[in-house]
Amino acid sequence: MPEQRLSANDVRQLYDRHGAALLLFARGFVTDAGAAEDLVHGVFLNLLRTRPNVREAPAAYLYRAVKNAALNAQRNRSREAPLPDHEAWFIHRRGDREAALALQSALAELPTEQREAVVMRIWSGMTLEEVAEATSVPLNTAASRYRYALAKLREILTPHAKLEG
Amino acid sequence: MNDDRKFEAFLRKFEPRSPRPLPQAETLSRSWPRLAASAALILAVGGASLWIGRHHMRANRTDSQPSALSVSGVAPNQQEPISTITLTRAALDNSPEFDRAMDDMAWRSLPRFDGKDSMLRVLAKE
Repeated sequence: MPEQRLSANDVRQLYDRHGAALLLFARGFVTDAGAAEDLVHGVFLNLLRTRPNVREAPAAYLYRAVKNAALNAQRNRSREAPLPDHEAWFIHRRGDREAALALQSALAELPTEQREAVVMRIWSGMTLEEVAEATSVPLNTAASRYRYALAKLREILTPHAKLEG
Repeated sequence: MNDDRKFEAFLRKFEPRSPRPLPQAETLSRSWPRLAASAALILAVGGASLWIGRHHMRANRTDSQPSALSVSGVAPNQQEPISTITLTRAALDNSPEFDRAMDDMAWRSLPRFDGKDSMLRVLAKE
């Protein structure tokens, strides 16, 4: 049986590929940017320490781990006043800050499952099959969540999309 | 379907902010042997300094002990300072030996001026 554990290099590659998308995903749960970043770091550091056997679906593991950590953090922070989040979630390649903020608020308003699907597909580059596996739902469910999310985002962002041509 | 692809491409133009670089976790987890080695080195250096310091102190103490006096009534290898009564008796009984003892004591208790870094030489240089 071949070794299925992740090497430190594998973990770093995963961080480079999914770190930003996972941070984006975490920010849907946790109000301040620093806490979201700590949460993502915590998941990766744990991965480096324990090196679990997740070679087949590491992204699915990471999203689940971030979601669990975020929900725990949410529970622990429920009595605290949320910190204002001044930092933008996105950087637009052509510097359209207005569009970036519109996308941020549209994404924040999506239900968690839909946000999860769209973040995994668009910013982590996962296939719908991988999204389905990561979220432990049938492919059809994952696909319909993604389509709904896309439709809602399009509704809000169409003016910006048209402006860009 | 084509619209979906276009919109997906539009969304990909937005880059989520990257988190700060991941700390060197392996370095952290492997740092304990280095810490232990550093602690051992500090202990060794500290122990050696302490030993050398004590050794020097003992040597200095031995040097500053009054030498054996041949004043009558005083044992030749006596390490304790001579009492005033003994000195008075020595002065009355044997004044030349008393003078020698006093010279010897003065030599030891007063600062030396013939040393390489003696106060007098330092002042003379200035």
